[in-house]
Amino acid sequence: MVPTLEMLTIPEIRSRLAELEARAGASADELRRRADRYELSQEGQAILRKLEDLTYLQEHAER
Amino acid sequence: MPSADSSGQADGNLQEKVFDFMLEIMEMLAAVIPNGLVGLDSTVVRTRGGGVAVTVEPSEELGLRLDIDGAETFRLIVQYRLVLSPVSHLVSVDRSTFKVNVHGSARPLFTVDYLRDSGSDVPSAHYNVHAERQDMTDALIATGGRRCGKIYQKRVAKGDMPRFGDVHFPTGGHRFRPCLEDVLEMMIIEFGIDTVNSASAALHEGRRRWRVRQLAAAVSDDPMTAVAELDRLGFDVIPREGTEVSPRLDRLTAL
Repeated sequence: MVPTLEMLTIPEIRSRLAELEARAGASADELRRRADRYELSQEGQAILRKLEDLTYLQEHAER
Repeated sequence: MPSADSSGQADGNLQEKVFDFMLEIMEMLAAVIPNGLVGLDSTVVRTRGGGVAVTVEPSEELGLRLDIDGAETFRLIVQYRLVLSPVSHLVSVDRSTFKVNVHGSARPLFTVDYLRDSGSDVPSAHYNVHAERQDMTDALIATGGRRCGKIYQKRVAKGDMPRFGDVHFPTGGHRFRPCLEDVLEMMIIEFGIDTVNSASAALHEGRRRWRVRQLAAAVSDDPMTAVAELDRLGFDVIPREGTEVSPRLDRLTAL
């Protein structure tokens, strides 16, 4: 097993963000609210982590 | 565990640096966790300024699986956010999170976070323990509006109670914070998770690497203290002309 490394562009990040929100059936803000209330399943938490990581990368890419 | 805090040679080979960073963690994990599900994935973007930002997380979507007697019991979420400066070519950890979830639970047991820029009210390295205790809730309700009290009072105003899990317990600042090996060994000692026979040696080696790197970073924060200690031990340390010897007070004093 080897680590994977994937390079993304800003349009690819936007597309992934939309895909993840569609998969969750909720916005990142809504997922965050549920997580804050300990109401988000671990699968939902995984999606939220990916959304937040992609948002972090997007912010850096746009700097 | 590799630390990108202090490491950073200026070779500019980003992919190799990130790959090595991840491989070192994966090799340690493989020598500790017997189920073999220790893959790590990274995602990278280039910044307009010429730097890069990287996120690293387990290939297993729910986190690294920790078993007891072969049964899935916990998930350990390991996340790193790294940045590579276009000027110095140094890789730095911008943020790390180690979070332990109980199998199937929506509430984490605890998290260990590091934030390079955490602001004045959050310790750069801290634990959050997601427990409940009425005395703590009562104390947080009584905080008033100072500092983090604003957050607790906001929760109260919304009809929610402030929680034990909202409290940040500081743990060593930028240089002396816990490493991934510490969390893993705690899970072994306190919870009896399954391990490979080589676990102890791998954890010790990983922790040694971490502390050596952090020690080097701490020396760069305060070279004159290092010089004084080396002098006491019998070394002559002579700075070259132009060597920067001022302490980094921001690092030395940060919560």
